[in-house]
Amino acid sequence: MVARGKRLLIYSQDGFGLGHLRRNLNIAYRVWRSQPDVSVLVVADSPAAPFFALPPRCDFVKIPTLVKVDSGVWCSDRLSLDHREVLSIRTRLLEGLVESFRPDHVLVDHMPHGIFGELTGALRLMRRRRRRARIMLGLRDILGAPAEICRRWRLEGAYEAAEQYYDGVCIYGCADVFDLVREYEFPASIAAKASYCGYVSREQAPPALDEADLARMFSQRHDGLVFVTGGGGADASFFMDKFIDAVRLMFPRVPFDAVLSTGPFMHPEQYMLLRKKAKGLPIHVTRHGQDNIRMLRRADLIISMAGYNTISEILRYRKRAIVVPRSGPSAEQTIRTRLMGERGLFTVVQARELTAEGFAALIRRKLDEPRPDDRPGIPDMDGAANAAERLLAATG
Amino acid sequence: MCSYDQRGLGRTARTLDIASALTARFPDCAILVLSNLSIVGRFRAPQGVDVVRTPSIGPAAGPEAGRASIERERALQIRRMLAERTVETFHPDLVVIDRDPTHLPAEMEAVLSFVRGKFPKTRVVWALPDMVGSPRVVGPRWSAEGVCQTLDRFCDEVWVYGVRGVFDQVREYEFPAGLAEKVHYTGYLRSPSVPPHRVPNDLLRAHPDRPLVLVTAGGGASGYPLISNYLDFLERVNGDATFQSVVISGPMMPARWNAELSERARRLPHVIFHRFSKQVLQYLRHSQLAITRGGYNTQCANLTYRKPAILVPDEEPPHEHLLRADVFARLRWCGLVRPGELSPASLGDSVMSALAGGSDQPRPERAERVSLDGLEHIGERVRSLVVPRRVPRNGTAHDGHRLEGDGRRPGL
Repeated sequence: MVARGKRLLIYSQDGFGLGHLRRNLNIAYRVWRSQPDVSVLVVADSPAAPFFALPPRCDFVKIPTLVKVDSGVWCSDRLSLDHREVLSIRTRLLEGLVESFRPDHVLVDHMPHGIFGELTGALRLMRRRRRRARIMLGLRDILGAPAEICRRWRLEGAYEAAEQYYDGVCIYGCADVFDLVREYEFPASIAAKASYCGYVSREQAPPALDEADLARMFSQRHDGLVFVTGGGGADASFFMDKFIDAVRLMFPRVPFDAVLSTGPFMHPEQYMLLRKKAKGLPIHVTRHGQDNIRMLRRADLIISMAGYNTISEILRYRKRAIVVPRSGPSAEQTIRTRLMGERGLFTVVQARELTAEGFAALIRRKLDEPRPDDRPGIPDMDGAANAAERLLAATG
Repeated sequence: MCSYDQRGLGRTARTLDIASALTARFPDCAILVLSNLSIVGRFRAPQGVDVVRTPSIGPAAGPEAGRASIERERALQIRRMLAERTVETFHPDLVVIDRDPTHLPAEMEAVLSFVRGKFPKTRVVWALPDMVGSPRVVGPRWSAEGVCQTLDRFCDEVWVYGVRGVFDQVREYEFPAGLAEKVHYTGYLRSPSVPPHRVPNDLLRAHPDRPLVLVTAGGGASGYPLISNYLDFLERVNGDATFQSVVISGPMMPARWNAELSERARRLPHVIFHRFSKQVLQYLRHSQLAITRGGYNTQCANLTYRKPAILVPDEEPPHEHLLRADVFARLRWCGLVRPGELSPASLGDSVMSALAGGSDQPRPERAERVSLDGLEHIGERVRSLVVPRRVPRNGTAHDGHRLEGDGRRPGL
């Protein structure tokens, strides 16, 4: 039953972002809490990896990065190599990793056979081994628009891979929010081994910012604190720009201080522009995302995009929030905000509808709202614990 | 390029700088950096460069051994696999290795004989900093491990990122004649230039008329004594200091120590404290005095910016920092506080007299004639190693574009 001294391999395919890695490390932390002897190796491809602190007994390997430029289109991040060449390096390294690490448990996030099937060889090798590893597929609550996902999965043979190689599927969400199994038309064979784990959020979070921290950011403190975040930040500058307009409109009677965390992937020029624009306003602009969780915990209002981890943290810490979903290329964020917005978990604004006046009025109104304490609509937030338990279940 | 750090981050940091210079010179070349550095993601790889990160190797024995994430033997196996398969699939024209040749020699030997056996056309270079350590320690260690034989057997060239006139490795470490012929002194590696208007924000808010002292501990893994003594000195002056300080503890400093130092720094006036800053060179540029350990990259920065510096090396064998500090101090490029003499008072005295500018003070401008053209020389070496030899001398062989046209890869 127990998995003492066993090895867990996690494949975290992020490309340019950090979202999958964040979630996988939350799960790895939970694995360590319940089985401190398990050694965990995370295979990441984000150029910023590991970015977050690794849990104990966890190490990582970074393989060359492939970046998604459009649905189904990938290129290498910095290398002047064809994506196929990068892919062949990745494939060989992944095969080598299952041979040399010899994992007992494997978690693949989130494409059943990786980009362009790069995991197929590694999965086959593991299936051929005498002592079989327990292989789980991890899927976040919503991958994208059902029609698009079904089309891609069919095209790429992802259903077959999920059927053939996996012992189970962990869905980091809830069926009553989004019934992934039904929406993505899982055949009975996959549906039977899939289970909803609930939302995964930070397992061990550093404490909220304190007054001393804030005093260092702001010469004069106001009562409220608004935290503005766009996750990695690659496409967050638009709503951040609008936010600064809204604050400018309220100036000098701004009832709060704001921390604007652009994320490590925002273009440096856009970052500098935001900085310049925020001059003279009670807005602290920062690049690093490492302290985001501390700011989020302290803030009275969160204004963010709708990435999985940010939304989980908003829900977990019961925060008031205004959420501006990314409109494309995937419909993931639009669907997530629609479903959760309907439950009244936060207020949703579309980026194209943002005006400085409307934004300012909305921020004032949200700050006056009572805190969303344990309201009934909040979904199951024990995703990390449930996923860790399923992962470590007996092998064979 | 293979860079394996042990306690610090210096090898990987300079390897990425060199990679950046190479891709700037040969725009079509692809470089993969194989590194074991846990925080390698903090450095943004330059265009044309990507990173493969290998797991850490825990200590072989002792109380820490059981706490390694992955058991040692397995981690070694994974590392070897990653190195071999990266070579196999990336198929580099050139492999440059920057690591301590006495650290896990069997691991490196296995990978090198793999490269030599399978890819006889791939050139192999071993890179060494200007000095490796005290000859009294390095000599016996290297002969015990057969380092010179290994280097000679597997490497086409040995690059020393230093200057023969400053420290003659071939003589000091008694390289046999065959190996001595393969050695190229590249000169020191000039640090990137920083535009004068790029002033870190917190410095803009600070006192413009106070002289600035920059205190850095490199990676920070063993930087606690330096920074603690410095803060202690400031605590004793009790706010009467006429200068201001920027203290950078280093990302590899254990969190507990860092928290203590950061808290102490917070209580002091005119002190800016960071754990990690991408703006170290900006701070250096605006400083009047640098207090550093004896790491290679830091000294390249001090030389590049001609900053008076006080070096506070540690005593860790093979005494690389101490030797460098000694040699530089003898040339009067910097001041020196010896390991046994480090105290708040001794450090304070050095700071005060350096800021007062007495005649016995470090004169970094004396290093004016020392070569900082390492990156250019490395580029030259790469060109001569990678371009096919059959091309006549007066042909296109000396044109950098030749390299691109071949789609060759001075890398791994």
